[in-house]
Amino acid sequence: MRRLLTALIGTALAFAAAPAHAAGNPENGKTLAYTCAGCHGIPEYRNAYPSYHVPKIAGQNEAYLVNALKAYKSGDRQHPTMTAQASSFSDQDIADIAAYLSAPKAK
Amino acid sequence: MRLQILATVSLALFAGSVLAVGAPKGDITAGKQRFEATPEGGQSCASCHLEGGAKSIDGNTPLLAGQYADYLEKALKDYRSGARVNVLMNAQVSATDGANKLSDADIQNIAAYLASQPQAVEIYRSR
Repeated sequence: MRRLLTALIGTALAFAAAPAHAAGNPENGKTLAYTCAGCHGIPEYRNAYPSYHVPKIAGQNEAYLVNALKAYKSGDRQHPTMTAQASSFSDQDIADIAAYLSAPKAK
Repeated sequence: MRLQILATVSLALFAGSVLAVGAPKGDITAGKQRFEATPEGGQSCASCHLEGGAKSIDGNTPLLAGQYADYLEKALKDYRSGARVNVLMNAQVSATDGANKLSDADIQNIAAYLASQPQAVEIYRSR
């Protein structure tokens, strides 16, 4: 019994220590994020039908950005342009883009 | 001369309408109160979106301070209707069974409040 418990705890610890996502590479993210600037890089840029401002994404939390792109990819979030963009990215691409966009702005 | 006056007045009206488009419609003070209010049996917005949205309880929770008001309204309305799927946010703001049942006015006010905060997120520029 004690051995089982030790094994269980050991497994739990191993899982806790493993990162949930592959770490993003901000350098590659910078290259991939070039397209983002076409909408997210223009102050006051608006989405059409319905009309609202395209969100500010620079400096946003990394995990949130990963979740957002994956949600567009899966259909949990609906937006034609963003679905098309997110669908063109692998999970690693998404991690890279999120790592880049979430990084503090270089002064 | 009359033409000049007409032109000036038209220009002023035009400028006014352009400015009005960018101005949030909501009430910032009411939005702050709603954002921080703890509903019965639920949690406030502020318990996860910390310091007026400048910080957050974890990385999955977005920073909201200084975000565009109309985008925030769209996001909240989509969470409320279920058009945007997120288990936690859907449960929070659903109009029927959410812990925080948000009215259209609540959403407008909260969005105005968050947009009025110093920005935690920015326009994307090459970084």
